[in-house]
Amino acid sequence: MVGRRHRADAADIHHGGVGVGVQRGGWHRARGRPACRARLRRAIDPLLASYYSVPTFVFYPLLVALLGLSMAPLVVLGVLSAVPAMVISTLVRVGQHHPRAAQGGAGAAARGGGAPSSPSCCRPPCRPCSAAFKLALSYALIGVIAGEFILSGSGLGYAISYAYQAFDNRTMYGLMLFVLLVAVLANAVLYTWEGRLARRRVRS
Amino acid sequence: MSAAVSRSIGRRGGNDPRYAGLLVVVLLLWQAVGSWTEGMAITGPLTTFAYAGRLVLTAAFWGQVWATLAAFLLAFVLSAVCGLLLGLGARGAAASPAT
Repeated sequence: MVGRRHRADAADIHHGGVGVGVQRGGWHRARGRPACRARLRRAIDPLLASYYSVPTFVFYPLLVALLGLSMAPLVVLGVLSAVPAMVISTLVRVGQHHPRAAQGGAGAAARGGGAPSSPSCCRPPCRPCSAAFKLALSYALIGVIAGEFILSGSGLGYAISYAYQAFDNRTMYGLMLFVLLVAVLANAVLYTWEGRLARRRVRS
Repeated sequence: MSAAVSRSIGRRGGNDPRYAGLLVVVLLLWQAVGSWTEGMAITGPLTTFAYAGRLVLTAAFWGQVWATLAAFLLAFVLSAVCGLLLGLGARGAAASPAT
């Protein structure tokens, strides 16, 4: 019975993977079973590694066609741009603090163990989260501004695009300066938060 | 150790004088290119700052800012939550044994 289930899980991954797995309820099974989650992770890894080789903006016209010319396609574009960076950064930084996690499931199995037993070992450190947040912030801002630049009815990207097409350099650079200030300010807020977290860790 | 961490945080927070030097160099380069192209390709920093100062006083500008910030904040929060959950979920997968 167990062997049959494992074969079914493996078939989920092999047959084009995630989509088929999700459709057949594989995701719920994957959440429940660590071995299946490890296989799912190995199936998704190449996708994450090569995600940014195709610009997400190519899907923006499709998103506009599906969701209409509103805020929704811009938000989806921002999320599509930022989520993989967030996932990769979380995985990498947690792996640095968690050697057995970085070695992957096979490495952990070879050492005769499953998930680490110590709670402090399992606890994700604060620094990986803040680094991932900074990446997500940059990618989300780029996604939204670029989406507005391509096709939108409002927003700073739209205004920059309008000024660019009208050869209005002063407006264009003024708006770009403002976007730069927004990005710097948002990053400064995250740096301050990261510094507070680090200081709290040193104190405790 | 605490002092070292505080120094490191302070330096990364922008208190390092090298950042100010880099900023001055960038502004000088920007002004040089602006003067060289006579504002045709790129307007100089002084003109840009002055114009941006006037721009922020207009109501239309804040309408555009609000549209962008709303989409950006929503995208950031959604991607942070989804990315963190997926990343930590995949970390659990990596830490688990493979059969």
